[in-house]
Amino acid sequence: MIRLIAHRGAVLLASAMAGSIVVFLLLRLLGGDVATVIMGQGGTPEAREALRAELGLDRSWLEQYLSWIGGLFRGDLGQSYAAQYDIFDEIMSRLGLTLSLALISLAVSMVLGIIAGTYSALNSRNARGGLVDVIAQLGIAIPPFWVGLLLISFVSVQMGWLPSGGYVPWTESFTGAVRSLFLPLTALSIALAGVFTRFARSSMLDVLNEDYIRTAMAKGRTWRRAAVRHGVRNAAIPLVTVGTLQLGGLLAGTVVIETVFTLPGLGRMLMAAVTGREALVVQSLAFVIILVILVLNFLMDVAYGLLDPRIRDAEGATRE
Amino acid sequence: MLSIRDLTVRIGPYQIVSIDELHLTRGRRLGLVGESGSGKTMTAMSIVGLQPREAQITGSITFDGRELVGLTDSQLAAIRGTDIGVIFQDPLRALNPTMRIGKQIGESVRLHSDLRRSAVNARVIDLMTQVQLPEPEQLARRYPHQLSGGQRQRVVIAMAIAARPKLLIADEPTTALDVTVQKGILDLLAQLSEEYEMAMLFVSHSLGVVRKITHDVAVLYGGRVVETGPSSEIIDQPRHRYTEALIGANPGQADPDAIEAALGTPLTTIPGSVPALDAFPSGCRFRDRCAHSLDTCAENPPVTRMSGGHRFTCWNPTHTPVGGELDGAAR
Amino acid sequence: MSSRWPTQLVVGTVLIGLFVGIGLMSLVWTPHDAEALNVAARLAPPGTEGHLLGTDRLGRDVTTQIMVGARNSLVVAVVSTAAALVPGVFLGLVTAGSKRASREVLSRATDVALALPGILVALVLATAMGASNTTTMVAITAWFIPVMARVVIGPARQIMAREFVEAARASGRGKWYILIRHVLPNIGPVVIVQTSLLFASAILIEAALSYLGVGAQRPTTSWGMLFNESQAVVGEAPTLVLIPGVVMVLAVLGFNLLGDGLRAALDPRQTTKAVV
Repeated sequence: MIRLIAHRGAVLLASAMAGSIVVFLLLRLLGGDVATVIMGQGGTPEAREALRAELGLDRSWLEQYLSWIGGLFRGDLGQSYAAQYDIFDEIMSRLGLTLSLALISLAVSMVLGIIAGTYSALNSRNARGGLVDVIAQLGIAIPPFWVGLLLISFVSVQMGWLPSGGYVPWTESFTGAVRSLFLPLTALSIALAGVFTRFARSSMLDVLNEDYIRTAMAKGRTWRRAAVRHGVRNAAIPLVTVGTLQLGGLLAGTVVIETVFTLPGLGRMLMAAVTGREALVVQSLAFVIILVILVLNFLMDVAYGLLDPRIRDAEGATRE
Repeated sequence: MLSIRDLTVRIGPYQIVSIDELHLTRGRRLGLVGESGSGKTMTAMSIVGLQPREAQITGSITFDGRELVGLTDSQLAAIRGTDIGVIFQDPLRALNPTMRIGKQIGESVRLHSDLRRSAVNARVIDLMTQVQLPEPEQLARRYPHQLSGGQRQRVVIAMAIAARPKLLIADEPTTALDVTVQKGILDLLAQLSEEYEMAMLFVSHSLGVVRKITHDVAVLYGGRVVETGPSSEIIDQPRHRYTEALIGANPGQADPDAIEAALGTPLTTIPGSVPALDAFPSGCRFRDRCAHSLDTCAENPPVTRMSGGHRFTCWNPTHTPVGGELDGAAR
Repeated sequence: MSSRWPTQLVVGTVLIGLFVGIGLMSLVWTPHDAEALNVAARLAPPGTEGHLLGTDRLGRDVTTQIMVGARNSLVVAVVSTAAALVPGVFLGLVTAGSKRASREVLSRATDVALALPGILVALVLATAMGASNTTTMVAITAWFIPVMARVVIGPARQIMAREFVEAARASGRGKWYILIRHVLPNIGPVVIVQTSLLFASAILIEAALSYLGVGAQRPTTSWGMLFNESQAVVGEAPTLVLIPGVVMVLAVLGFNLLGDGLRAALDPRQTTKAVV
């Protein structure tokens, strides 16, 4: 297990480094001149030169990169030029909300997916199981931001049951946080739960053919009880892999859903920075979002090892 | 104790099993022998409702006077493990890869008793000791992939005998194991059967194994019982031409003193191969592979009953039965 | 199962036909001019005379907007998927055909690229290039290339291990000859299935980006834009969000069903792993 964590941790670090270089280079190669973007065509060459020096953009790329990464560890990523906030502090204050959205909807849709997928697999010979599969297939096609807008329209505006936007932090009020996040989480989780349901179904159908289900029946369990007791955990193992592939989409969905529900998370900060074409803010934010994905990926890998003792024992286990 | 009558098992359009009659009495051990595809495993599994879910069963299987065909899964579940235990062919696949050994055996214990947790654990260790697993306390905490093949099969046996069933169904319990550990498993099964006065239905494709541990044997071909009776009598003096050919093709296996050697040799098949499910001939299913077939073999063969429960269905058996009674068509 | 895939294929094809149909039809005929504003007739409910699906908050005809938006989604989906197809398959084949060490590196690199959300790539590009339909297509293409590569690597390696490839290698055929003559034709089903799924994905990403305002800009009309513009009036006119959304969901569903149906028909061993 320690081996697995060490191996996966090394992969995490290497990927994070690769990610930071990609983001840095993308913005340097495609970004044009930041000073020109900020000042428009109006600025004099001297003024632009001064701004570049102020932002540290007159140094070599290597220096810029190293000071950026160093700043990340020191907690100093500089100031937003347009909005005059401290980038690092701003990211930290918004991280909790974005993480809440991503983690809760991941957990909720995984649990829902396993329950619905198991039900669908156990009833694969009758209409009910098929119906679950059709609903899941439909759910996958539904984009979170559209569900979000519909929920605002019907649940918030027409019924007035829940707020249509804004965020009450967990530290302030638990029920307030739940109320403010319920609709965004619902919107985020529908498509994801659909994906998990379909994979859980096919994974469970595979597991139902395994001999150990028959063994559990031989001990005196009914087919259904045997399938639930011995099947669910084994069927969940491949779902972890599926889950890691969904992380990117999940974070993307979070960025969009924050805009739909005007939630003050990283996504809205990113949108503001993109609209204001603040390359330095986008660079740090994009990297932090990638880092969140990679850390979640790492946690899923560890969960994979916890679920499957065979992986735990395999040296430096790799998944294919 | 166990009586099978007019049993058929179908999957889709194919009839996998068609057994007119087969009996097993208390404390006896019956072997089911045949090549791959003879329907022996399907027969054994359908007794306790462990056949594939798409299989359809008709006919009658009675156990202690109770009809099993037509029972619901939950009614059969109450019988499985309690009255009838089952051991499978491949112990690695038969064990849940993500559950510790002790917990898997404990599940069997808990399903048939209302013991407390500590008593369950004690019973698990006790069962592991009975199946001669070394250091049971340590092994109980391991996962299946951390055990050897022989140890895994002992675990499966421990789970099957947890409730001291009256009948143990063993589906080729040594086939997937190393030759070196096969004999140990067979000895254990014979010993447990004696100790607990537990009847056994022993599915095997090895004549030597059957001869060593079963009292009676039923030879299956194409889903039908072609010959049945006391093991030694059938292996020494087979009457059905199929049994004869099977023994002839495997001379080493029938020798009671060469059991170890026999374990190492797979069953040699007789010339020709078992036809596809839909390609069996009419009448005697063996006739197009048989060196002694007659024109009459295209008709359904008669059942010949001899003393000692020896019974076979052949138009042209090895020699005229002495003292046998004819049943069915006159000859 | 056997009775299910034709249903999927039929329903999928019908839905795609409707989507492509309204998109193409918008080239020759729409009920109204896509850009015609009529503030007097704003927020007309569906069923209004002359505006079957109503009008938006500037009085534009919703039916027309949906048709023109379908055309934009179609263009973005076709261009970005087609542009990603060749480099993606090429990258996958090269990875599968490489020696162990370089294969590991390439394989990891595609994994890292895959971990980046397509929308994030688009946002970074939009910062650099500004918001436009072109940015959207470049971003989707950039993200689809590793997706396609990832899907190809596994099956390509399986085929490389097959006997006829061994035989070709033994008879002195080079790596490229084997990859193109033997492997490529055999991964066809995987690529076709994935292409269908990528279409669905492209429609969703395009809509999300233009909803966020970093995709297409007026006078181009895009579905995501319709949601963005209607968000302020979603309480009084929910159909402005509901109807275009249903059309979009059906189009996405169509490509997903087609992909699933094709997979069941072409690739019964399910070697294709759905990535998006």
